[in-house]
Amino acid sequence: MVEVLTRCASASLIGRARALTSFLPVHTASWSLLVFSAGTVLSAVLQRHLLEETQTTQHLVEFNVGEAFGLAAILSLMLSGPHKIPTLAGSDIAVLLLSALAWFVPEQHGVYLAMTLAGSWFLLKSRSHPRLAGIGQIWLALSVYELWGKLLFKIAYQAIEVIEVGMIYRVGRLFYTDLGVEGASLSVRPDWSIVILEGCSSFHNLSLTVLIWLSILKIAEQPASQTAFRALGMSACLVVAINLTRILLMVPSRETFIFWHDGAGSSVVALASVLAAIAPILLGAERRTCPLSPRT
Amino acid sequence: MPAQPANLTPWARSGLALLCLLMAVSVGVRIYAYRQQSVSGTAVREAAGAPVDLGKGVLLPRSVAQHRSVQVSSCREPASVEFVQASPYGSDPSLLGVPRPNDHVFYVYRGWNLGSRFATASLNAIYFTRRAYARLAMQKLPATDDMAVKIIVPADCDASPDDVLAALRREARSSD
Repeated sequence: MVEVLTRCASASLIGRARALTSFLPVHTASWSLLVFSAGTVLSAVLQRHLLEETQTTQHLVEFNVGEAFGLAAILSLMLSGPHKIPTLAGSDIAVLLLSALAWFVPEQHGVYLAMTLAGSWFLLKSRSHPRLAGIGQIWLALSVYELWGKLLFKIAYQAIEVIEVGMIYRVGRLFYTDLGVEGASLSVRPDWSIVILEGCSSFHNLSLTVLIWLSILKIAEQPASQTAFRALGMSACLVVAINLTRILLMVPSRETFIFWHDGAGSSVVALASVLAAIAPILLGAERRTCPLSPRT
Repeated sequence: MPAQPANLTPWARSGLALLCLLMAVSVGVRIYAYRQQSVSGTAVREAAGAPVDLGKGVLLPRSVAQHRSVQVSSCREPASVEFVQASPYGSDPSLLGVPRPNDHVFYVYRGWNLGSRFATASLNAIYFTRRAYARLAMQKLPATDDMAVKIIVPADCDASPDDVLAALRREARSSD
């Protein structure tokens, strides 16, 4: 009897040890990816809140929401099927460590160089592993939102500005008959005008919309179908319309400018833009997961 | 899932440990920088009023960097010179000066001819490169308030931007 129990116990121990050895590497891989994602976001958040000049509420809401969605999608990709995350090779670890050096860049956007490098590597190398490729996509979407999209806008804004101001002017004429435009400045009265800089652009937040869209698709484990792209298009139109309305509301006076640019109005706009980015794809995903059954 | 080669586990574990270490150090560095900043106060401001670099060691004081006409020997009409901000936050450089339809427009930054077509984007790129360098080098004064020269050469004149710039440098030297 004792012999049987001992044999059972040792068999159980050996089984557990085997399970543990096969489980640990998978967890080590997940943990490495998670620590890399969290480390990049933490580094950028600390730089933003401790060392950068104070930013508008709108920017703070949008940055934090983008990062929160990115992290949630990465967590979801890991937790929904941890056994499907393949073990990281030595080269993967080396790329993660090399990329992590960008955490020391003393600029909140520059920190996201880390995710550009690692995201490109995992996306190109792990095409056969959908979860790893998905994590690479989220990292790239985050780095495009936080770094490359902003840089592109700053460098090419004078070219984009022409389209932007033209669009605002055409829509604005429907509400303000005396709306005037000169270069990038808009006015409805001689003693007050606003200048549209790249940070105010209606197209500026489209990369955040794409990031939220991609994150929700990954969390809902759905492919980028035609319906999903239609939802993305709708979100993009809503986000542009919300910002355009905000800019037109700033035109009449200094008071309205301060309210919509720096005050409570900017928080309302940020939250409305985030909702506009979330709602269409969320409704699309819900409909796909729970199709309506016809009543008999 | 593919079979796990036994020799990869230490790699993965060491990698994870190093990532955690890097994260802790990066957090520590930011908190240290924040404390130092609180002690010394925020002194990072853009350097303003730096002279305009015309290349070849010639500097033009900012106070005289205004619109001017420069006579080039090979041309009947003078070339027009404007000073534009090399940053996306000033007025749009393409709106300064009034070139006629067939006039040639050039942008020159520190004696470096940027051409005309993508000059505005190039000036913005230069601005952000300088800013990024200043951040990486931890400079207290990033000196990003820089200026470039916009040259408008009349249509019937075949002078190069270098010819106009040479004349501009001569003028700057003689006014010293």
